[in-house]
Amino acid sequence: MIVSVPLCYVLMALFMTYAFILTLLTLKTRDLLKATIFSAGQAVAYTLLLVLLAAPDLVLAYVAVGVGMYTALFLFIISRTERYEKAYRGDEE
Amino acid sequence: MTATRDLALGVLSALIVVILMYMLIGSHVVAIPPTQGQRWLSWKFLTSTYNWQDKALWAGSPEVVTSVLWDYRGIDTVYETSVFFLAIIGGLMLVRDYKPWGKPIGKGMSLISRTVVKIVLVAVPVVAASIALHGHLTPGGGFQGGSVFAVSSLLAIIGLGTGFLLGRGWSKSKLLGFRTLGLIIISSIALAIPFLGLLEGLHAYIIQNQWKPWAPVGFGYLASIPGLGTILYSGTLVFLNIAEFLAVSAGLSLAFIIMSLSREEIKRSGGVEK
Repeated sequence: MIVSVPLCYVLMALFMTYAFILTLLTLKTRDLLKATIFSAGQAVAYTLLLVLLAAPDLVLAYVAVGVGMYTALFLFIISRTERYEKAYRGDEE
Repeated sequence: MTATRDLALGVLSALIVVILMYMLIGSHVVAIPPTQGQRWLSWKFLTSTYNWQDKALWAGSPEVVTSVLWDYRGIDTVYETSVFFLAIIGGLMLVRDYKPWGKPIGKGMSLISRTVVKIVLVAVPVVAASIALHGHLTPGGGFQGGSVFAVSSLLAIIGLGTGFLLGRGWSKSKLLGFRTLGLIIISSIALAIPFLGLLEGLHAYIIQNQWKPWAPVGFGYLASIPGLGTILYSGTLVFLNIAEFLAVSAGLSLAFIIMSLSREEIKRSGGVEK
């Protein structure tokens, strides 16, 4: 049986996978600057997802807040502290 | 130990996803193929927001989301705006003794970056104003426009240095003034209709937008401007969008300017951070 899936769903699944991978990278990486950039990439994937869900009002708010301000806020905060996260005790085994 | 914890977290999050998806599919929110037609709530909003035949519950605006935000659920948005105001005020408390400095500080980035930023800096506020002013006709609104504008001031701070904005008179008191002006406009629009109803002895609601059969006070929706013809301004929506744009853009720009100051600068000019 061949199931025909609309292209919209394929793209949605693609962007959600992309967002999931970037979220995992954000959690795993020790470099906080890289983590911030991965998080911004996740916001871009969600923006594309919201476009496909036909929610342009949310897109406009999400782009400005998720990609612009959130990233900038974290970059400012990282510039006040250290760039690399120290290893926590669970990793030493 | 770490592996066990990761496994437990993975199982837990998978369980949460499964439960949420089950609830969404069970209540017919998500379905493949998608459900045709709308559920009753969206059907109600879609058929009443811009219904020229039956104006009993309409908002006079073709943009349903803005109508819900500022008309049907207007008090929610007013409350949200006041929460945002208090958050910015709380942030400013940390630098309350801060005095403005004389000379501009910070040089910004290299010549190439500065040129690009200067070009983009013209375009972004135009887009922001367009999003905010057309908020009652097309997707967008005051908050969206204001946050896009704040991104442009952020660009200026990073690309051209903090001194760029301060040298053009973007002082703390001026930005706070714009912010408060926006809130005053929002609150006076919210209270204007009940006040008018009180004077006339008519039934009226707080933050009411259009005329209702049982509450016959409203802002109107069409304006004839000589030279421009008749335009649809959708009652309170356009004014509330402009006020919210003022409040959000000024508040966020102020937050970014304060945030970008160096510790030495704050210490030198009598800030709290000693």
